[in-house]
Amino acid sequence: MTRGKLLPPGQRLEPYVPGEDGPWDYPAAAHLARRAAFGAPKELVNKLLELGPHRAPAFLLRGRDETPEMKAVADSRRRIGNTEAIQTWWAHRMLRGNHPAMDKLALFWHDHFATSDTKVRDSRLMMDQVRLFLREGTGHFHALAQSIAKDPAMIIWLDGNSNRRGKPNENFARELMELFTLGVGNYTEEDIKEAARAFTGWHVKNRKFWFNKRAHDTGAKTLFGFTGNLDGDYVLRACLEKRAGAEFIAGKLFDYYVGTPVSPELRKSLAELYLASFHNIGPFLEKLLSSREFYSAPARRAIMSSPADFTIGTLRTLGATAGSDRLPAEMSRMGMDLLRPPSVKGWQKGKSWLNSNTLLSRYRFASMLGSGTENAPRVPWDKIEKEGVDELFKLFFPEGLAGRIRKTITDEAGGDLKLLVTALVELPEYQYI
Amino acid sequence: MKLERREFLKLSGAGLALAPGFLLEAAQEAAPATDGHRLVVLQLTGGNDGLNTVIPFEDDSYHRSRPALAIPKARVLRLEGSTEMGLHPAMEGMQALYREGHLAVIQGIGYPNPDRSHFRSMDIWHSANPSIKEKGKGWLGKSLETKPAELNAVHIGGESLPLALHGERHVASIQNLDFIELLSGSKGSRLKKILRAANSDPRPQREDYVRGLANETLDSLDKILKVSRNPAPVEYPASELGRKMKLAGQMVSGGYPARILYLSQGGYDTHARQGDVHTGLLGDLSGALTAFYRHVEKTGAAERVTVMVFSEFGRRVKENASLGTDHGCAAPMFLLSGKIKGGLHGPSPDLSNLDRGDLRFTIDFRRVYATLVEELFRIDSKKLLGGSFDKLGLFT
Repeated sequence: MTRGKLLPPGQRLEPYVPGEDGPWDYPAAAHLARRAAFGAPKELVNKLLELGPHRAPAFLLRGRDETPEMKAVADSRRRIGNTEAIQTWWAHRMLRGNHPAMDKLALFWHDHFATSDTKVRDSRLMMDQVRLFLREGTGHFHALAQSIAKDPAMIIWLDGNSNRRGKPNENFARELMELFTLGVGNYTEEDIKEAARAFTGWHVKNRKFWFNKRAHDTGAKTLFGFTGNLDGDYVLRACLEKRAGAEFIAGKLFDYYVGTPVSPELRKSLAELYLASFHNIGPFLEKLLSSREFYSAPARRAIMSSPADFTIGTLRTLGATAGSDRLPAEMSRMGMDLLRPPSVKGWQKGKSWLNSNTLLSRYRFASMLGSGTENAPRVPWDKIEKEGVDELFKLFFPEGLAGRIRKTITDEAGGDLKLLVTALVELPEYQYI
Repeated sequence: MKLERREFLKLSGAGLALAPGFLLEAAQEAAPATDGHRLVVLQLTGGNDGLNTVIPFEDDSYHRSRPALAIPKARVLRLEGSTEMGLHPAMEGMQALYREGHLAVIQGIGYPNPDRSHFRSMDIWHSANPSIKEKGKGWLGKSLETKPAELNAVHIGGESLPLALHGERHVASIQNLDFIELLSGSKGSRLKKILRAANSDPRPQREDYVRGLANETLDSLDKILKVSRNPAPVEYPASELGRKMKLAGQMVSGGYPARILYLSQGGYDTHARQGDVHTGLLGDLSGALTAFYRHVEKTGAAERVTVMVFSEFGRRVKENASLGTDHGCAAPMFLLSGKIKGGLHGPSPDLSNLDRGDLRFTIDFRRVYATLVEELFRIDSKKLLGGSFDKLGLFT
């Protein structure tokens, strides 16, 4: 697992070969579980261990039918239909659903195409958008971008209805290039103006996408140096065909899943890997999640856990069940108000997840685990007691924890496993996945 | 923000006999040095309507521009010594502070090429950089870096850490006192002991960031618990701002080591039906500031604290069709201190010389920053602000 960082960038993304590149062991499988989904529940880690590094990612990401239980929860929450209800539905899916890796990816897209219910003010449309991510999240990026450009919540969010012939509103066109597909520096202000004209008339009517022909500008437009009667579909295609777009989206997925620093050379290799998957997100992710770089030493515990990783991950690792309706509020205290990202840029990630308030909110959640109060998550303490301290450490830190720290907290906890779990979850080391 | 009265009571001196170990431990700590001058920054979020706060009541164009919203001359609170400017009727407390010479009103504050976006203008104020491109460090965050041994800061509020405080140093952000309970009590103090022990060893870079933050947070909690046990000798408004200002008053009076305290009051984005809302906000502001000043006066701290009150911009001179006002530019700032040269500073607003319907600024806000960092912290403002800004004669 140390060889990865010595390899030239091109080879760092090649498949991880157990034995040659490092071991395929419990810590490696737990690393995959934490990154591709939430937390490292023992059964899942053992299953991944059995599958091996090349079959495990596909197992995590491949399509699954919604379970009847999840369908029932979705229906009942949709009937209530306010933000809290839809947040609860999603948190419940992450915690108890049968496809957490898909939820983790949908969360990536929710942050990438960040749309907030504070402006949309229609939580069912927000739910439809999350479902779009769940349905198309592993598909072709072009198809996903096309769907999102016609997604009612997105159109409301970025003022699509005021984008009309003669009076273009640049909001969507700007964010499409700056935040969704290309990144700053890969387009001009003129491109944005022209692209906005191409999207005129992409409106919402009766909570559905509606091409308002009368509001559409059919005049000649020039985008990236090409002139014609261009429409929105053309703009989407043109953005996605740019090489910069491949680097942009591949780099962003890499940051979310792998988290090691990206040199210009590695960025190039990432774009090539992405293009070799023909813009298909699922196959690209499978390659990323089975690469040497992913399993390299610098990648382990390299990513600051998000509030979703922290709350859902901890509960899943412990095999706990909880009233899912409390989870969104907990996550919100930690800085992630689901369906209400702070801006179209999404959440500030990494180090920004932690400040005194959010850290104390994590402590508070950790204390709740062992509190035994009515609202506390139900943790299978009997099972944990039976398995003992060694297993507990393996569960939370399969790769090990510095000996002194382990001894210090074990001594101080004095056999109180609930206190020990709370302390483990509060350790600096645990804040990284 | 939820800082319940009962929590303060629970933590007050009367309960000392029952205090858990954690409490006693904190109480026994030696009092930190208290001689450094404190700066309390109070941000009015949303763009305060400066013209209806410090009012040019003799100016006809003020009354003409705001047929519904102008405060009638008879109701304006007079500022002693001025024949043209007065305060909003909800600001009686601040009128008294002005009369006593503790309140400075600096008029016409702004910056070149004003930006009317809340976010961008706020970023400009926080970074002290009108051409800010990327959010980096804030003016207070940089001050902390300049004097690491002397300066500490605390942020009181539930919002994320303001950009003004961003920098290399950790700044504790205290949302509410629930958290203190979390780490007190028998179980909480055991947990705290474990955390302290586990966090005593330095870590590799990544984890050490969290370790530093955790230790900083635990230290702050201990100290805040200690100062919050001193009952305030005055009544604060029962509002969120009142509760935050009370904690600030306790910190300043009780020797809490932060030299910079940051808090905010929201709700100033008054596009519609401004009248009652603005009255409520200014009444709350005046009440909280007055209580704070009386508090630090009684504890003998008034001469070593300055409160700076600012907003990201003022509002349009003309009222809009919804009985409100839209985003504008220049506006007044307040400074409150036992050391301040009270009174009106800078020229009064000129409503006959507007820039696209907005007041023109006459004093760059960075001159106020320069004055504060030089006078209170002895920091070279030229380096900090990336340019030379003349100080204002604000302190005695």
